[in-house]
Amino acid sequence: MLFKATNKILLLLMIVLLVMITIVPAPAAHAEADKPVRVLLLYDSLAKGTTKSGNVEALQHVLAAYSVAVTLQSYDNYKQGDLQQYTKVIGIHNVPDIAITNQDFVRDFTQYRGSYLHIGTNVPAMVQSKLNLQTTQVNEDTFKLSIDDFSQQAIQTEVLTYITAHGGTPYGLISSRSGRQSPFGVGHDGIAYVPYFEKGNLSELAIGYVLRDWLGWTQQSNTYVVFKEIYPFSDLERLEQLSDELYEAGIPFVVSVRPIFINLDYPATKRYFETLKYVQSRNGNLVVNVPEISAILSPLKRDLNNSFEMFIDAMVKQGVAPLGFGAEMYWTYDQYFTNSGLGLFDTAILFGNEEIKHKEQAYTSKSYPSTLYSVQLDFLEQFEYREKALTDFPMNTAITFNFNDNGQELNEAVKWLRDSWVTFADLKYGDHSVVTQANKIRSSGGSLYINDQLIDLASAREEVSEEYEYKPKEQKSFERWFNVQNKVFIVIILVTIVAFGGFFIIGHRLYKRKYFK
Amino acid sequence: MTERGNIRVKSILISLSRYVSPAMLAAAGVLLVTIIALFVPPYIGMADNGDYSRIIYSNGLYILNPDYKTHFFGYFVKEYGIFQHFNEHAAALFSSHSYFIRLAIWLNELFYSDQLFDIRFQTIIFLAMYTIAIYLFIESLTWKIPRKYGYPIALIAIFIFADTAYTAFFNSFFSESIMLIMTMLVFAAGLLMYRNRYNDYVLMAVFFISALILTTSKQQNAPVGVILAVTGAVLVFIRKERSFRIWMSSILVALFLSGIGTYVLIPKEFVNINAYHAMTRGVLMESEDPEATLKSFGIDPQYAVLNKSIYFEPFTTVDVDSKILEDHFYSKYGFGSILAYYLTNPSQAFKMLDIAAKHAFTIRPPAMGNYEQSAGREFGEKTTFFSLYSNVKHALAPKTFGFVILWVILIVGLYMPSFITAVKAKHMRHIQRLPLILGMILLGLSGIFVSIIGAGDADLSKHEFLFTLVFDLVTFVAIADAMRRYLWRSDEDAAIQ
Repeated sequence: MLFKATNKILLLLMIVLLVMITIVPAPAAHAEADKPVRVLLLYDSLAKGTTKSGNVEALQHVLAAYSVAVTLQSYDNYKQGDLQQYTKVIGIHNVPDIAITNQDFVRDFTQYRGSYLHIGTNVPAMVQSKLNLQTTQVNEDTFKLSIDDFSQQAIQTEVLTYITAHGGTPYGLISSRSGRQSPFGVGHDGIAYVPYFEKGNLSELAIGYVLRDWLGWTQQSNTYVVFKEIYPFSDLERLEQLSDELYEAGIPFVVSVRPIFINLDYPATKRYFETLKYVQSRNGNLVVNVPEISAILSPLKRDLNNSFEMFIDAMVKQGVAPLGFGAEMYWTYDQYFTNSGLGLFDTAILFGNEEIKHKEQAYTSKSYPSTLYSVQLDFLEQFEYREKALTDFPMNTAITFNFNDNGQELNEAVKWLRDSWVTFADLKYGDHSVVTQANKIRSSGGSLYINDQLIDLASAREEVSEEYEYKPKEQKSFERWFNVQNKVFIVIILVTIVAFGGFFIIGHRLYKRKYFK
Repeated sequence: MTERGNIRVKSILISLSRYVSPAMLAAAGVLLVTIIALFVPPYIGMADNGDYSRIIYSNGLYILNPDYKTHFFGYFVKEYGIFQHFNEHAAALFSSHSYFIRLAIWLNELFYSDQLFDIRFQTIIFLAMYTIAIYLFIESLTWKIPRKYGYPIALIAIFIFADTAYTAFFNSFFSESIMLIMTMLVFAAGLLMYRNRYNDYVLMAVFFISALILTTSKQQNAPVGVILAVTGAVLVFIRKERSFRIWMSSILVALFLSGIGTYVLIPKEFVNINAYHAMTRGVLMESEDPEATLKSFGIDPQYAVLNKSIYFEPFTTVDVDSKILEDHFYSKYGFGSILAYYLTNPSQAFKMLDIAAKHAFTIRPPAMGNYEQSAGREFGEKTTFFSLYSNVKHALAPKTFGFVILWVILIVGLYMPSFITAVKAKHMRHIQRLPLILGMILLGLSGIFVSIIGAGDADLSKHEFLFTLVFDLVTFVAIADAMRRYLWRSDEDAAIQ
């Protein structure tokens, strides 16, 4: 009896132990390694209506390329203790001569011992002393900015702080027409300062150099070619032709393709996939562009995760292997999007924001292990640079073109790519993966795998059958019976008409005989 | 006892009729029920479906509540802000509704506040007009007829037209409220002319103004002007004076032109969503081979992937306003080519009409809630107060286009004998009744056709308001005429003096 009871207890203990093993998470050290670096980004003002407008967003865009999770907060909303939760903090000061009035922040900042990057005016004393900074402020100036192999002439600004003396490492050079010179930024031992930062000019790129060291980013960066705005109803022949042209020029590229969430079995969809398969065989890589948010407040409930999975699974079925997603940067600052849909990917190409349509705005971004910072060619064309410089961007960069049917623009893009001496990277040489419930797609060392099966990139194109039943035939019951019935009715009606006609004629004659004798 | 009771009822009716005519009873009844519904808490109104901003901003109002969007489809909101500075919002769409909103704002500023707008100032205007419309409408049917027919007709009118499915529109910025009032006024003016009640010139003015407001209240109503101009042609001949004929001819021409004007003035952004649906939720949807259909329009067959897609989906492949659609999709078709397509593919047209008929008997749009959030009701909850008629109609009407056709045949058939008699007698006033009713029916049918051609099956239940209204008006007139025994024959000349 006692033996039995001990047995039972032992069994129970074993079960509890087993359950605990499955429930308790993996060792904390392992989890720690996977966690992205967290950065607190504080700003005093978004500076709307000034030349500084958009610089906070531009910084978010660049930061994303270093796979950090950014929390965006204004100084006004700062709450006591926030600073202590971060080891990396960035402060942007867009409004000159106005000190931070939030006493919680001021108090916490004196205690703060982590890394700090200051951008703009009102340099804190701590930064000044750590970097041995001496600065002078100039109202309105025109200057030349240069960094690495890039330079941009004649940048105009309203208020500019020049670093006249500093310790630590300088980045880039600002030289004004009046002969003043200043580094673009300086950094030392986790503390850095950048006096000037605006959206849309070389400073956007230059800050990448400062951030790379400040964040301790050591990975080698690559430059990619990306084509976006590819729809199922784009000129698919032109897309194939483009792939041929780039293939012949030895340029690997990425296409960000628009998803379809319905009609996945239509011949038109299959033709779209066949074209993408062809693109894939010509050194093209695929990423899924996020869908259009047509109605933010749509009463219809849809699961984006499910829709993405359906689209990706349909692609996989036809041998097409997407490696990531392409989206405007704000998608990573939206809880709904990052939880639903974007969770399938570990690779992102983030385009600049064009029109922000949040579903559930979040102030902390989701980071992706592999993120490409996208720039358009006209952005680069503002600068002077040595061609080689394009391979040496501080972060992974995608030079992005719109695939549109303006033949001339596309031809010019191909010509530019062909003529450039830049070595563009092939996305599939990196480790990227997309995981749906049914399929696992990954790339490594230049090969693509679907469910761990190497896929043959040169596989033959399959002809898409035009035969498709768009409307399921309705179930017809008693069809033959109704056919017979129809015929019987037709006969009866015809006979009736003839008989009626006969009676009419007879009646008419009788009538005539009676009255027209 | 019963005889005594009968006598008492009769004596009450007699004394009642001395002070309250059936028309007055109907108007007062509708007024009372509507006041209880719209002005006594919990207030009944209509939730915004996102369309309000198009009309309110251009008229100097703005949304007060920062969480307003969470009320979309769910809760009725009765207070809005009035712009205190220069309003830079250009009119997003041209609509006669704007004038009523501006009048309401003026009243609001006069009596209430110059910063806060209470939508019920607009409601007061609409309700006053609706009461007049009901009065005229019922007067046209009950004037000089026995009391025993008049009062039941008035009670039926209250039952149908005081239904909150109709009147809740007054507490909203939807132009359906204008459509309701103006359609009734047009019909009433026509019927009063037929019965030679009131001054013809006054009625002509009522007919013209209400038809004009109706036509220009919504782009979808562009055909209204044209239909009323054509079916109203007989009205020119009801009087012999030259001046009347010139006046009447000119207003009919003006109505015709206003219809065309309304069509031309449709703003562009509005067209894209509808053009998108006209193809994806209309032409392609019922096509056996969407690719071949697209080819027939000269569109790349790859657009077949958009078949059945809805713009209101939260996630779509393409933005409806994108250049690729502008250049390769919308530019290839229009109202005319879609109409031609349906004419050459009648089986598809009938399938679409059948789909349309499923929503043709619904008055209250199913998507929008009726209560304010403060009333503590559920999101999107609809009122049941005085809604028996709309609920019964929604539940019981046979929802096929075949039924609509039968209804049209029945109505036309019922009025045909009196029409033929009138034609034989060359009695222009009597001839006018059938074309008027036919005009109303065509008005309703145009609502269905325009929705299908213009926007496929998307949002049908809201686009078909005109049909559901006309169905009620015409059926009610037929029932009233049957009750008062003037269905088969025209009203006696004695009554028409």
